[in-house]
Formats: sequence, structure tokens, C-alpha cells
Amino acid sequence: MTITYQGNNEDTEATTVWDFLNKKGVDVRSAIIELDGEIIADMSIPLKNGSVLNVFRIVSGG
Amino acid sequence: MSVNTYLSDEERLIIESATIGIAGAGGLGSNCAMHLVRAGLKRLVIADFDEVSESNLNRQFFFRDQIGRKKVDALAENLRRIEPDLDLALHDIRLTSENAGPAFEECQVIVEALDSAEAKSMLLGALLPMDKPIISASGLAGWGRSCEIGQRRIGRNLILIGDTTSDIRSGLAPVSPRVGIAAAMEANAVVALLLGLEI
Repeated sequence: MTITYQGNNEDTEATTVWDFLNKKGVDVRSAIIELDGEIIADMSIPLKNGSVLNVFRIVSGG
Repeated sequence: MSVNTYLSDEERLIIESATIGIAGAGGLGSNCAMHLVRAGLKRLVIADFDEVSESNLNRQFFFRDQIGRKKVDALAENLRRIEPDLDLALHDIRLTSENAGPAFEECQVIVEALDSAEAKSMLLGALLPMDKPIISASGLAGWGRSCEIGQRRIGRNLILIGDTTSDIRSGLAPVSPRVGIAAAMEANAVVALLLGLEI
């Protein structure tokens, strides 16, 4: 299937958000995950063809 | 009489009746609070456990003679020098996933103004289920690249300010100009939300 990740179309065999981000090496502990316009906490949500996935890093400083 | 004489009667009513939460009274929180008070906000809920230290003075809205004082008390004093007629709820607490929700329950909008990535993530995890607008910041350390401090809406209720990369843990210092820009953007987003304007 094809999803949009960080604004770019990507073909993937990953079935869940966790699977996809794990293969990307994304540390989800310090990130906000947005799937199809909603912030998600459950990484086991399945991806589907056309999903739009965005990851925003949370870094220190204030 | 509002400190912000540029408000219309309608805007003043909205601004003065709003209660805004500020999680953290450091570089982001103290400066964001200052901007909100100058904008005409009168009701703030501020939570921070820390004391003012010398290393804070490079960017935080405190003064040398306040070193050693609780940040929430020193900030309240400074904000009241701008606007004496403030309704401030001060929580001298370290925010946790358990106490954050109750601390900001009465707030219409909450500003995340913590320091570490772990604390920011914890707070967002605790507050996002409350279904209230949250203004957060990530990526504001170092110098230069002012225009890379962006803002974006994520999901329905989160507005994230910063470049999401400039991390103090990568050796960049937290310094007044970029922290101040992010704090001002957080305050600007709060007021825009309250007034129904484009963020």
C-alpha cells in the first residue's frame, strides 16, 4: 500500500503505525504522532492505503 | 481599566473572562505569561515547582533580587507590576500525569511551557484527552534561524510552536531571543484562539 509520511508518498509493507515507525527508527517516546488528522497514542492502529502519517519531534528547551 | 487599551469592548469581554493555564514558569512560561497579561488577560493558572536561579536570568522574566524565590511567587509579583488587578491561581507543584489535569481543569486554553522532552511528552499525554486547546513548544534553543520557528496545528487541539529540532541536549543554549520568540508565539496563539482569529 501507499501512505503519505511527512508529506511524501511511500510504499510500505508495514501493517501498523508501530511497525512503520519502528522500521523508520523513529523514537515514538518523544514524538507526537498524527494519523489522518488525529493525534494517536495507540501505535497498534492499522495503516491503510492512503493513510496520512506525520511525526513531530519533541525536544528539550524552554 | 485594562492594561491593553487597544482592545474593543467585545474583545475585552472575551479576553478578561478567559482563564489560561501555563504549565511551567521558566523561559517559555514566564515570558508567555508576561505577554498574556500585556494582552489584557487577567485570569491565569500557573504551575511550577522550581525556584529562581542565576542561570535563569538570561531568558526568564525574573530579576536578580528574586534568586532563591519560588518561581510562581516571583512571577506573580512581576505580572502584578504590569497589571495589579489579576486573578492568579498559583500551583507550587511538579506537574505529573496525575495532577496536571486537575490543576488546569478550569482553563479554556493550556500553554505547555516545560523544559525537558520527557516532561513535555508527559504533559501532552495527560492533557490532550481533556479535549482543550493546548499550545506547546519544541525546538527553540540556540541563536539565529528565527524564521524556522514555525507553528502548526496537529490534530484538533494541539498547536506546536518551534522548529522541532533545536534541542538543548545537542549542545545548543537556551537563550532569550529564540525562547522569547517561541513564548511570544505561544501567547499570540492563545489570544488568536480566544478571539476566533487565524492562528
